[in-house]
Amino acid sequence: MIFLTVLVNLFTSKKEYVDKAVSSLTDPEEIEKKKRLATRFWNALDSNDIWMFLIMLFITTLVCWYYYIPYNRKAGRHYHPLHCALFGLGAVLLSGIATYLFCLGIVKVSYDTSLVMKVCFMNAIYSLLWVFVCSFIFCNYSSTNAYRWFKIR
Amino acid sequence: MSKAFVFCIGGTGLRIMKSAVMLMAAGMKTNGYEICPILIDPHEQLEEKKNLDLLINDYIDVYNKVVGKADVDKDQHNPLDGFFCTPIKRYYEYDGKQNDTSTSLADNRTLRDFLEVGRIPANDINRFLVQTILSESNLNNALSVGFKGNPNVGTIVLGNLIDNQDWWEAFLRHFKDGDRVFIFSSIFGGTGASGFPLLLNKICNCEGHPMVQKAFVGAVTVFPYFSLEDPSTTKSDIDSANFITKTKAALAYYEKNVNPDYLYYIGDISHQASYDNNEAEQKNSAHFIEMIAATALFDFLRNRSKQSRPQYMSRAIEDDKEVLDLKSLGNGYKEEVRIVANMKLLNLLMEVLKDETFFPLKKTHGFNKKFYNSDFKALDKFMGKFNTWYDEISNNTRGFSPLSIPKSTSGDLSKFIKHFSFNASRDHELLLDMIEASKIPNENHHNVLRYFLDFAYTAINNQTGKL
Repeated sequence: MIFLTVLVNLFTSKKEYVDKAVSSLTDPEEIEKKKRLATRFWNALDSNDIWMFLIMLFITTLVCWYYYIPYNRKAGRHYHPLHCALFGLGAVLLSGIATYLFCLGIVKVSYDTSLVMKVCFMNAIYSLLWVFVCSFIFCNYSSTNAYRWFKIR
Repeated sequence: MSKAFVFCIGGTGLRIMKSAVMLMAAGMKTNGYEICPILIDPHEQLEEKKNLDLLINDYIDVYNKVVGKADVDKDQHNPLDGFFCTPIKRYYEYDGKQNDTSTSLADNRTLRDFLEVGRIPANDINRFLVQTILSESNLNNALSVGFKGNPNVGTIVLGNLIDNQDWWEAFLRHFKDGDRVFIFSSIFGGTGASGFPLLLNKICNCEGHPMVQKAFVGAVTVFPYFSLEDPSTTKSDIDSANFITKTKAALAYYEKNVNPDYLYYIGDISHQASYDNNEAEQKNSAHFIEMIAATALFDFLRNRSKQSRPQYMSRAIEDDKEVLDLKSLGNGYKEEVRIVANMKLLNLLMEVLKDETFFPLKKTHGFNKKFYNSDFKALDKFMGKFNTWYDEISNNTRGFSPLSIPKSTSGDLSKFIKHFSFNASRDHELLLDMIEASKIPNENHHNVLRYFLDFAYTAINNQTGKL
């Protein structure tokens, strides 16, 4: 719900997606079959997007926690921006990859790889936003040893 | 707070005080005593005296910034448990003055004029006495350049000079029950050798001041520990070949007449540096013996109580090496090695942190450019002097060089103290310990320099504390 209605729908709606899937076909029977396949594919992703979102939240939060708490308790100037950027990037990539792996389990990805990739990309974007939210929380409400970029108090 | 009046007499006395200030900056404790240094040397133009004066000012400046100056700052704190932990106060501050307005101890007259020898009749017995105990050279020397290694001159002159001094009056006025007196001097020179017995005598026989008369007094007197160039080549009046003879003569007098509660003897005859024989400048490098002499003050304030008889103390080293480290010094010197190491590690942290743009405490505790361009500069200034002092004592003969300081700040620190291993091997481990120290909620204030020294000490002590 969350992905497809909020972000994926920015590019395309379910109706447009299904119509586009059959746009090159002329045989009515073929069109009906393809419509069912496209709808099932869309619905599978759409009905499981809450899990994808939760996976993203879990992974991103975990990476952020690891960066802000245990990792910065180790010596080695881990508070430098490079470490922060690498962990942020890591959270985004991990969320994207985890989303892809999850999709592998619920749909036949090869049916429409581009839509799956788009979903993964959207989840990565969410992850990036969540990185900032987590950073804000850790910078203001935790005893982190990291550089508090987002400290406002 | 109880006070310890520390009289520093003559060139060596001043140099011992310099070491004492360095050690206090590095964290040597005085058992809660406030130190009131009184510098006594009629040689007013002596660079050593001016520099010590400035050094004490620099110390007080940092101390006041860390603790907050009474009657000025609202944000007052207790002394830190580490660097700059001891208050030093000038005697004139007890009278509410900001500067030393006392008249100089220097006297521009010659000894001949001072004694008014010309007015003594030719056949008077006193003229013969003067001729017996003082040479023509003694009589013709200007008193303003000190006593040039002649205790016989100092003994005659110094007593009269002291009487009119503001610091003496201030000492008599402000000495209270529980305060202590300590005297730094040498036994082989002029000013120190004569000034110490004289001052002690004045204290013990100070009429009208029973508290002063009964004062608990300690003193360290330094035996010869350096030699001077041959005076025949430098046209100096001081001949270091006489140091031992003068020491023996002085000791013979001290044995019966100079008995403070605690008398510490320090000296070194096996490894001696040879200095330029220039009595006007006396640009001698700092020396290990001066540092050890300074530790007598701390021993006196921390470990000693009044006894029924005078106590005589000394220290020894484990191995007679030309350059001393923890092993050759022996276990008795761990504290000195530790606190000198602490200060040099603080120096390392100061160098590192100035350029540490993303150090987390910049955000949380104000370790930012504004700080490094303000209060930090006072610390930096003092540290520059400490570094010079350490370089001098480590390169002098005998050398005190217990540290193996890496050439770059990113070098290996595990063997920073020779014959002792740290847990940390790199600077960033100390930085991490500073960050951890900042999370212990013991104080909440806006004094960044105090935070800086506090956290740095905790981090450094994690490494050196086990020594």
